[in-house]
Amino acid sequence: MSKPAKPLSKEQLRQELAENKAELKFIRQSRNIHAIVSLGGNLFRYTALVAVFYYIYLCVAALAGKTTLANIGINVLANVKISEVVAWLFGGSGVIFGLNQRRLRRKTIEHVQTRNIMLEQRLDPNRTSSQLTPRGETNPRDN
Amino acid sequence: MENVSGVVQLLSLLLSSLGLIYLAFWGFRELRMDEFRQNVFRLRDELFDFAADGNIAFDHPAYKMLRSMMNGYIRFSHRGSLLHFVGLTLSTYFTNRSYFVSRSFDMELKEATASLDDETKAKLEEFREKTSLQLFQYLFLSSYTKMTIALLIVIGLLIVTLLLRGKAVIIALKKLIKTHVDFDAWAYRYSKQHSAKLRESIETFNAGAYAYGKV
Repeated sequence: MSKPAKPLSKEQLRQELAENKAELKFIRQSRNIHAIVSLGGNLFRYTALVAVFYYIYLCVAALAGKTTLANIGINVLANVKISEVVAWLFGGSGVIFGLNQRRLRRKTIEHVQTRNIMLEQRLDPNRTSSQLTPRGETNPRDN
Repeated sequence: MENVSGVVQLLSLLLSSLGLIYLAFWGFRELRMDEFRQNVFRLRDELFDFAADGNIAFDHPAYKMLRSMMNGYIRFSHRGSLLHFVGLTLSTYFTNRSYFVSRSFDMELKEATASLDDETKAKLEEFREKTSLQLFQYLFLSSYTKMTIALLIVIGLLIVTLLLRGKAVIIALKKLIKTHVDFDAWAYRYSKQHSAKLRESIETFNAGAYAYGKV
């Protein structure tokens, strides 16, 4: 039977309270800074996206009323270059390949990690976790 | 017709730009984060194996502290960025210094490892250093933009030093190349050695990760 923990003195309790308050303050500061940094980051990212979509709109507006989709289609087909088609196919299939590899990696993580956790818990029943999802993604409540 | 052709080419360029924006701001960022998580997972598994081999108990405070720190890094790596690192360092330095002065993570870990033998202490310190190195790499060296900037700064400094102390620099470079040193590890050790601010900042992040990992 384990011995009961020694009761802490008033001074020790005060110190522990001060430390916990400081730790909570740190967590709050971190959260606030994260909010500011991600606001700035998202502003930059989505501004870039909006700018690109705006220029796409300008391109379409430049053609509006002056030409038809059929004309554009004929123009594209008439000026098609093999090298450009191959480049587009290469880029596009590269992205699809990457997305599928990521999907496969997450499936593998789910399979391997489930087993890993079970085996580790046999040795350490109080095993702590990083709280990620079974597929290794950020926990939605931590976003 | 020429006008249509020009606009179609421009549309093609813009669609490609959309793809590049996705890759630069979402795709590669997620990949770097996953890589950081995977590296810290690997270290956490090594720590677990170290304990499973009987070198330290699973309920030893030092083991629990290191594991919580690693869990914190894994869990909240999506919030980690260079700006966040700088912002948190400054904010803690000016508004929350008392915590780190009175009871830093470093002090707590030293207290926890006091009862262990030197070999185990050294091994746990190695795990902590390796985790800090991963953090350093993730924050300072992982993005291509930062790597390019870092490389330009290094080349600039190298040119200046070469002009001032040519022969000594060439000998040092030859030695560096010969020993096949890991650039990231060398950069981390060199920066830590020469910057007390960086040491304190990494200490702050370690303490933060430990606080998050306990939650």
